[in-house]
Amino acid sequence: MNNSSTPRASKLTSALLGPIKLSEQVIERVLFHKRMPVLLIFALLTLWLGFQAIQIRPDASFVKMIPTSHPYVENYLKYRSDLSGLGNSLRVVVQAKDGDIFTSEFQDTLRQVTDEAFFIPGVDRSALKSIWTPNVRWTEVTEDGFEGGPVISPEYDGGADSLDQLRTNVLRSGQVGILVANDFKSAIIQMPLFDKDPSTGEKLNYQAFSSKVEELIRKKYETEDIQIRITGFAKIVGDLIDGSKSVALFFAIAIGITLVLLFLYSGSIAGTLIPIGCSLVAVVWQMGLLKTLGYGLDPYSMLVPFLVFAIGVSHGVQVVNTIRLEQSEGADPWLAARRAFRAIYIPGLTALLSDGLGFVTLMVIDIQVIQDLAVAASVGVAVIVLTNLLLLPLLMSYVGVGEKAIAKMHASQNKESSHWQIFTVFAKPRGAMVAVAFALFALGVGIYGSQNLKIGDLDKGAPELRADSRYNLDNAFVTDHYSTSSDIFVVMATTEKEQCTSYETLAMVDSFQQFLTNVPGIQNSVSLVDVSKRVTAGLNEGNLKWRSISRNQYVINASLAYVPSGFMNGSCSLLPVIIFLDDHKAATLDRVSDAISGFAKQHNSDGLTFEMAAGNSGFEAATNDVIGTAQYEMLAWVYGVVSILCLLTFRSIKTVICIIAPLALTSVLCQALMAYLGIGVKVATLPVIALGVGIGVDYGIYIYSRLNSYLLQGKDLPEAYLATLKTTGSSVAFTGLTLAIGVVLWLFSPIKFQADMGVLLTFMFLWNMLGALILLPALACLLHKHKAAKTEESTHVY
Amino acid sequence: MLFLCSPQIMIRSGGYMLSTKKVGQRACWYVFVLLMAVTPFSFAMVDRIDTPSPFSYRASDGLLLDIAKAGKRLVAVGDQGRILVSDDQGKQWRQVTSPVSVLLTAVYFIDAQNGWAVGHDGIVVHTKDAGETWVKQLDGHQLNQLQLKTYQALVELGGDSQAQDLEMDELELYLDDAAVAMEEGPTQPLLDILFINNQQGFLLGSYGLLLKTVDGGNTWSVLSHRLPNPDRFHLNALLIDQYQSLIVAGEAGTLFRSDNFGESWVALDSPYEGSFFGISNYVEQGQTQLLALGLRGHLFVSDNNGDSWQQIKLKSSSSLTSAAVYDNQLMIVGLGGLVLHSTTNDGLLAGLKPFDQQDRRAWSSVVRVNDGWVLVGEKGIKRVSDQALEASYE
Repeated sequence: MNNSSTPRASKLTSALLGPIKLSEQVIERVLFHKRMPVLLIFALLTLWLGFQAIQIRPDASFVKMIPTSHPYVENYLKYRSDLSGLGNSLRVVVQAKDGDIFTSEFQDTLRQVTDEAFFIPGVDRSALKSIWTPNVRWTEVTEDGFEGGPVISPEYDGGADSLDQLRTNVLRSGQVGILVANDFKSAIIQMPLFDKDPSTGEKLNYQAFSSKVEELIRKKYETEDIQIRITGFAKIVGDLIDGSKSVALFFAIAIGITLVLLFLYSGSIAGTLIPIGCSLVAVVWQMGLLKTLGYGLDPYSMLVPFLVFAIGVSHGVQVVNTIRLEQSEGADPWLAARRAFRAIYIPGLTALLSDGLGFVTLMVIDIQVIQDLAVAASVGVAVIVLTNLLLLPLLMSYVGVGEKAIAKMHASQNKESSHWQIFTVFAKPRGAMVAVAFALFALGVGIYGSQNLKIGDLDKGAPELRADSRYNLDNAFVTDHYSTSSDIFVVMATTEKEQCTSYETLAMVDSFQQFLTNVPGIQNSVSLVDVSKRVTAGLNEGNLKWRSISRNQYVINASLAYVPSGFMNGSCSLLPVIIFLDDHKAATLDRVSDAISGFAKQHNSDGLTFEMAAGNSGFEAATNDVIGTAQYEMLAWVYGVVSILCLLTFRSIKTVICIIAPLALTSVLCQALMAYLGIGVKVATLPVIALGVGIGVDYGIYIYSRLNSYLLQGKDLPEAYLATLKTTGSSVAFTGLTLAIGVVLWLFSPIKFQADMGVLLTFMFLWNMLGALILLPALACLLHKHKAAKTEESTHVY
Repeated sequence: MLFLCSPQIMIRSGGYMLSTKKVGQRACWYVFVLLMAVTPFSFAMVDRIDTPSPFSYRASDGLLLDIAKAGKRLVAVGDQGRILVSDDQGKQWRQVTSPVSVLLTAVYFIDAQNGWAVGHDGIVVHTKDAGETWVKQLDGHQLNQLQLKTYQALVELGGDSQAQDLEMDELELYLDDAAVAMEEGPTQPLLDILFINNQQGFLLGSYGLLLKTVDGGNTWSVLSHRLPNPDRFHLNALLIDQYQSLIVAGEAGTLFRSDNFGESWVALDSPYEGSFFGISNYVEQGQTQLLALGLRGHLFVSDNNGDSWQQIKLKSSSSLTSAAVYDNQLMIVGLGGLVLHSTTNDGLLAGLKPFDQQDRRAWSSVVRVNDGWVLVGEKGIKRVSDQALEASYE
């Protein structure tokens, strides 16, 4: 066993791994001769990083999920403070389950909820709106001019008369479809939020805010007759963070299952606890380091601890396996651990290096959560090198594996392992042909299936959460019963200072909005132009014949004497055009942004420019744009990097094909699966292929290096392959299984994209394993027909 | 002056990227002068006065203000200069090319072929082929000059022989306003149009504007000062009644009548101080009467050429905009989704009942078609069939 690493190691000496080989001897000497000091250092580091790790907080930042250097987002960030009135507000719907809102009981509840909302910290109280707030008024044109008053009149007493009056006031307030549902069965309390607390300057804690709303409003006022529904970005973020808490449970379950499996596999208590312990140490270090580096734990990078744990365990298994082998050949624990270290250090390092490089390729995607994920995963892999390649053999050198485990090993080695025998079929020409033919067929199916792969999110509502989540049900209720769409695309029309209300500006924006009515997928649009038109008509006694932008600047100025917030900025150089879309499918977003940029190109001038884009759909358009190009770039990088790594390791193009082809097949099938399941390429699923390929290449490297060593010993392919399977096959299968267990539980996450990541990663880990066990030998068989002759040559060399 | 020809200035002034390193100083100068001449102010404006109305496949859902019959054809006008025609009683609509993209406020056909529409910015457009093609007859620039010339001439003349009561300082005020209008540009909205034959017609506008043509709209003369309207209230609606009198209804309860085709006008005793948005002839039991439609559900009827009016009390307080009479039925539409309908069985006025106010969209005009009514308003066109009306009564 330990001489098996020698040929490969010497092959590597020249280029990449030369210095590593050298370092191995130094490290080995230090590690095994100064065991106590080294252990002490590890213990201290673990304590310190553990202390850091417990301080890490869940974190979901909006800006991190969008590509900040995309021109759309750059434009948005440029005008961010001016646009703050847009969107960041919470809507609380109070719904009467029976009857309508014109009962005194319902109005009582609505009043109480409004009061409650008023006192929640973070709410912009002056802008809080419900029919119970004094800023919501009805107005009417009368013979003497405007007449108006609050919707709830001062004389309101809950009696039949005042409810009748209320109904009239609601109708003439124009709030039907905005604060009162079109069917009069629910009413909304609109709560604009401060991004930063104006008195303390502190950033709004979305999670705390969301749970406060949940507690003070939903819990308190939801009864048999009243249903409370809450929508808004703050609620999405709160739900995301709450949802990711269930991840802790998944982690515990994953540890439990891995523990059992590992014990069944190794038959040794120390051989079970130590790899798991070391992997947990890796997780602690990873989180501690992230915290130290200033990162939080967002819902995307929460995946990483699972991967780190699983990768750690799988490498730990290799180490324990080797120690057990050494001990069964008579070495004492210290010697066995030392020999195992020597044997595993370099292939382990290579495999981890390929993992890490696979993750690093994610950095090419210009979206911060993905880059954070790449950093987190790379840090995790780096940490595994220390914990599972150094600490683990060190710990094992004290205890070793038990007698039982050694006996078990003997038993399985002496058995003519029949279950591995089956796989050798694929190392013989006929079986290989079948396997490769099947793979080609699967490739065809995969390519065909992945034709339907879509970019972006395909579901309605908040795509981060599940379609049947409370939030999305609430959101669907609001879109169904009120005159609003939740897919908003904002175009920023910018002018010189104080020019946003000039006739020229408004007329151009008017024709822009007119142009938009012809773009399929756009429901309607709203801007300062609509305000001016409506108020101009209002100032002329509501006469529709005046509903136009006046050419007379004085009339315009009069019409814009009072502008509701969000329609222009303080210096009057920006007026947002808010566009409501049918949906946020990528095709819709593409069409809309193409149409708008066409218009902008034609009509932008020194005086007025149309810039995209803000609003959830605007950011989605930008994200899709980045992802659409980055997906191929990322594939090129990840395959390029692992191919080069394999080429450096094995110095043979054919070998590279043997290792990479199964991975490529899995990638294609994964895309087909995404198309089949209706999962689009998005921020959450883009990293999956890089993660899958980065980790999947491990299997190939382990199997091929072992296979190669047997081939070099002069065995023919089926024989070498059987030997490979006997020694590494089970640990590869075990690795695939532990990785899959780590991520499969994500399927149950309340967060949609975590579930998507879970299903795709599980699929990739398992298929990559099968690919390495079946397709790799088959390709090797077909590509290396003259292996026998070659082998002789090679044997001469060594 | 030469320092202006630095690259930065070039880029700012023209909006063009020029590599001035290669372009010589002299060439730069030429380009600069050229740019100044062509785009003195580089605001890529397209003036809605002479921009053809953009085509919109949702034109029939947009703001439409008036609808008229050209023989069997229906023609509707509204937002962005849109003109729509229908040859199947309002079921399907087709947008035709219109030379302007201003909000058109009214349309009138004297026969199956000849029609006119008016709109904001002093726009009048005319068709001779039942609304297929339209040409512009007047815009706000011409209107301003027309007013200025008219009042300059009248002030010079020392008065208008047709308006004996008009004081000289009144006339000077008209002149001042015309001068201010010249400075402000073509801003004046026109609000209604009426032809009494295919040569003679009248149009109304904001701030008391009244124009007359005797050559089918090719030239117009200004008659604003002939109305006793010192406050320059907006003039909203115009009709010719059974006595061949012209009746104008306007802002703040103004009602005017002319018995000599617009040459001179008298103010009628108004029953109301709120605005009138529409005025209509209606026939019940062989007797033709006048209906005045006003703010907040104010409806008045006159059986004596407008000399006196009686109020018809309505339950609704939505403003009334337009009425249409057909056979023995009456329909009145208004803001806030108001649709009132009656038949002679219950009495055309006494029997007015509201019909489906659900969507609360504001209506601006209504016409009768074969099997029902066609309404236009803030969200476009709606057909109300006789069947639907009958069903609503059950």
